[in-house]
Amino acid sequence: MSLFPESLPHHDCYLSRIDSRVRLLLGFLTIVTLLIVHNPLNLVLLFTLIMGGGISVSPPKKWLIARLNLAFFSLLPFVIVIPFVSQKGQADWTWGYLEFRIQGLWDACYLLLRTLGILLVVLTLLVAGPLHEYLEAARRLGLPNLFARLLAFTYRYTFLLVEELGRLRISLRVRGFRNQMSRHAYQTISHAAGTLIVRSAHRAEMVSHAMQTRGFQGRFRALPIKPWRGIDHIFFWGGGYFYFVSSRGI
Amino acid sequence: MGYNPAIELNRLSYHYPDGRCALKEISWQVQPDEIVGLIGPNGAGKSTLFLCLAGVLKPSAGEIRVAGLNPTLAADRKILPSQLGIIFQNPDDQLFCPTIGEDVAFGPLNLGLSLPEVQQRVQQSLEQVNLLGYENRVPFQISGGEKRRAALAGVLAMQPKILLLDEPTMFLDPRGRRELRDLLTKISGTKIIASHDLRFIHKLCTRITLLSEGKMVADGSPDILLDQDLLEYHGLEGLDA
Repeated sequence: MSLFPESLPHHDCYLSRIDSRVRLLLGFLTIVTLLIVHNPLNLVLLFTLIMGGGISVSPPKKWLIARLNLAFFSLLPFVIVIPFVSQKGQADWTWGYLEFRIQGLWDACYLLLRTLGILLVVLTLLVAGPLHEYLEAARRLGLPNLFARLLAFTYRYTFLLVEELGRLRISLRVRGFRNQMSRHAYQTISHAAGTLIVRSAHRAEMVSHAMQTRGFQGRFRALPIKPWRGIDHIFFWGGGYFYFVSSRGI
Repeated sequence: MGYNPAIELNRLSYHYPDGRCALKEISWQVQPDEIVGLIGPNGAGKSTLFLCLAGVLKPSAGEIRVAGLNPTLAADRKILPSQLGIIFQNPDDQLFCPTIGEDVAFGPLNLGLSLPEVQQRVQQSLEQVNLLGYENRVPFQISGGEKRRAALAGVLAMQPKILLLDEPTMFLDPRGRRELRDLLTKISGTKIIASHDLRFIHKLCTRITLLSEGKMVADGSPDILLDQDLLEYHGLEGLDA
């Protein structure tokens, strides 16, 4: 399973037609609300809304479920112990040294709902548009240009590094290398990591040459993105109003 | 059109930082609209020569003139990208922007052109390389041949008078090679093609220069490619091989 966002097809849904800045802001506000909400009813309501939003953009089912499953089962070992280790209030049940607290169970549920909620927001945004669009939107919303560009470069070249790593792994395996807890294995892995760093540095140098030969002199320039339309204003102000009203009841 | 000669080297030498000599006193001239094939074994200095011409590497000795500009001078280096374009061996080094459209626009934006002009150049150069409609595609989702053409579009958008192509057929299948060859015949201007693909060079170039161990050992008509002994002596194989 590839976690890279580019492995999914982008849908032409209502959310993808909204300006990426509005989408990003709405996503950000939803995550903030998810983090600060304490009322269990509100949290469940918000999670249901997020889930509804996620389903409404019709993401590929398998793709969505695989990622949610991965997050759920990765969290489970940590969440399952919370009711037993929580120190909030009196213990509700005690079996020998083992104490169980209902409050801890609630905390575990909150944590699970919040994490899955955040993941759902991120996945919904990625279904509506590619990551580079959000980086550009973040830049337009005030993220420093250099930082946004560096993130875009990192994102672009992560794929190449992963490919490079794949090639290295294959070349190790075809020569009989197997991961073991031995001195030789550790040495080989560190050599491979070193090779990867050297190749990355070489690639960075080549990219720098390519930029220089196309007139780059230290200042990043970018194409402007489309101006806001009516639907963007409706979503932005509507979303802001919804956030304001709902935050009063948190 | 342009400057006469388009490229002029006078006893150009380049040493790597570790002291090894990459180019030894090369004197060479390329006329406008000439298509020159630069051949030579690995490590002959072809890529280094290109980087010196593009002003990326500073020569240890000698003089360079590219379209009347001196790439060793900072002021001339600023103008140079509008006169000389370079296509690197690996298109992944050249396609660094998140989308093809942004990548093609990178050069014209750096030239300080107005937005409509930038957009016009992007469309024009994508059309030239048959990639219209690829503006929003991401570089890792396209094939090797398309990457090569996208990299070429990025350089063509600068409308350079001189084009340097470093191993342009690398990673290309026979069809990709054929497409690239057809494309290059349609593009006007001075072209220097560094390659091991002698068939490709033979079909495109009007002049051949053989570089070996940093020295220019032969320069003349494409008949050089038929001289088996000369090519084999310098680690290459003739067309009949």
